Amino acid sequence: MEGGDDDSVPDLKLSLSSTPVHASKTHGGLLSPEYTDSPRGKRGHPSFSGTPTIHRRRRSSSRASSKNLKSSEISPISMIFRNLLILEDDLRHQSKGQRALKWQFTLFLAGLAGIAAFSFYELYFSSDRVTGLYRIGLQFLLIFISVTIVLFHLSGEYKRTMVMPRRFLVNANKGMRQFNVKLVKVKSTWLQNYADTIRSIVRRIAKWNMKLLVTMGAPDTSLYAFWSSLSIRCLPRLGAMDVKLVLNAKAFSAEIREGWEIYRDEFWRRETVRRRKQESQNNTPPKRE
Amino acid sequence: MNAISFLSNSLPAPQELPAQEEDNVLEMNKAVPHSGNHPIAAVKKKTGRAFIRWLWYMLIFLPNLLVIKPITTVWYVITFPLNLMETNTQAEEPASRDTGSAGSAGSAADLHAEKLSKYIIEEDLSPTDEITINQDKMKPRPITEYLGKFHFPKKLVPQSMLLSDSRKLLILDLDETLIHSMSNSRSSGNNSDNPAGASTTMIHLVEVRFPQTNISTLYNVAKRPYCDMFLQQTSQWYDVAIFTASMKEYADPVIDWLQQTCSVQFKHRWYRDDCTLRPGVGYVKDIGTVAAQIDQARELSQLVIIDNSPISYAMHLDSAIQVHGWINDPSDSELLHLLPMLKAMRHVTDSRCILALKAGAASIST
Repeated sequence: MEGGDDDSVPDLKLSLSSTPVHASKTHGGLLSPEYTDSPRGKRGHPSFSGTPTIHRRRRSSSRASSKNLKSSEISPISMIFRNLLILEDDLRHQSKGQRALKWQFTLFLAGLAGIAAFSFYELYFSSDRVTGLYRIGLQFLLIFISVTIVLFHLSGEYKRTMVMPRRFLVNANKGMRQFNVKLVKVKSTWLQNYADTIRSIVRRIAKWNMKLLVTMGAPDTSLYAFWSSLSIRCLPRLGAMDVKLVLNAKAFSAEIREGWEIYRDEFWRRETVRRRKQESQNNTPPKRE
Repeated sequence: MNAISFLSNSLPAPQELPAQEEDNVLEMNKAVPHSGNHPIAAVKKKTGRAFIRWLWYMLIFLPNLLVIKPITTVWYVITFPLNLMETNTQAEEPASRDTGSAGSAGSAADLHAEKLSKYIIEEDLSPTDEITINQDKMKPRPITEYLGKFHFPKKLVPQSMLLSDSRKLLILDLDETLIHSMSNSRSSGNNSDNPAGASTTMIHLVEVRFPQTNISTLYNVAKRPYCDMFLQQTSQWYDVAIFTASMKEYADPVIDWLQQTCSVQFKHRWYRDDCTLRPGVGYVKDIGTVAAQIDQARELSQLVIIDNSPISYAMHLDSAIQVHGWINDPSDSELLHLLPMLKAMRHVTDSRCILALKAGAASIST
């Protein structure tokens, strides 16, 4: 066992002399000298200065990592951009999911509030006197909803379903700040949103019709071909919609940032073509033998 | 009689009536002079004919005007933006085709292969599938010359990654990253650093016993805010392991307590003995070696370490996520902020490609 403290407690855990810490402001985040002076590894080491150290280290390791690529012909920038694409796409899905969650629970809470307001009005403000079982029912409803809302808040569900989705971009950006990337919102015009909605509706209808035609045993008809072409034309729009990742202007040159934008757009263009091809292949009715 | 013939002549002959029906009508007209004395019957016939005509209009034109035409109009109005966009896209296509055609020269073989199989799965970036950006006359050099050639994957996430059961290994530090602890004797003497200052965090007493000396010490352990949520969520996406520079005797009870309260299972535990001691620097965590000990196939690209001390991950800067050390700040939400990124990173092919970006432009050296 190495080292001991003043009170002869064995030194079990590392001290936090050199690392930046999150301490509460009331305590000033100061460590007691006794605690800081434990005879362990990090004592006396200069504090983490951030970028310069990483810069130096990075240069050597980037060369090492480029050797690990599966093909030496593939440029490291493609690997980085490809992984950024995966990251961006997943963040887009998360953002969409969080927004859906927020809407879902907004509607749920609005519904509850509406019913509660109606019960309250009926009980205490309506000119017609409410009596009997109806009155008891309304009172029960009012109490039930109040308790539900209080529990919803206390259990942390309100924070999970309403507060955090609203702060999703902020939270994600705080986590990614050290990697010099930022998630930004992409605004789309009402025309694009409208077209997307119509596309998804028409696609659903087309798929349903195609399924029906296959069930009916008429997959070779021109009607099937029509719905098939419609389903291909109504494939969802791909690319940098909703949210996108941008590289930090302070850390990356304009060429790299522009290269990233070009890479992303080109990839999604190719992906759209690929999905259309796959869709047309999937839509091809099975041949009868 | 004259009046009847006048009436019959003046009424327009219904064009829509079938020939046979018209013949019948003519026959009836001829029959009228023979009967001679029944003008009312003839008028009745006329009324019947008008009724048939009206019915015909009802059947043919009314549905057309009231149902088919409006539906067509509504359909046209609804799909107008789509048509408009499609027209625009078609107009732009010839222009963009020039840019794309440069890269598609080498993909003729791929297209042929695609015809053969229904689902083409190309796992990785292919050297043949590249693009060259047209030179911008306003700029001295094209981007690809500066950055190297762009290679595009066939699929966003490789199928092998989606189908395989293996997950990335997330290595977490314990002290000041997930928890903060201090011995009971210290906390009684010095309250400024007491985790109890964190009003919202739960304090837990952990008894640490040393088999050699048989001395036991009580530790006050407090969880960092959002620690439970962080561990529960990350364990769904990663294999979670703990790598602490503390000693086993201390770390094990604390990790056990974390496992119980957070209802997660840590796949591996590494302690001070697994660290490399660098004189004058401190304990460095060699995650590559320890991960290889448990699984030879696990590459560095599949590892992520989260630590508050840069010394700990000094050997693997490209695999590290830095967090601020935590003592007792109840408003700390750093673990919460990491969740979106960690979730998004679970499918990347090489975690170092993302984590190395903290070096900025130096990470993109061609």
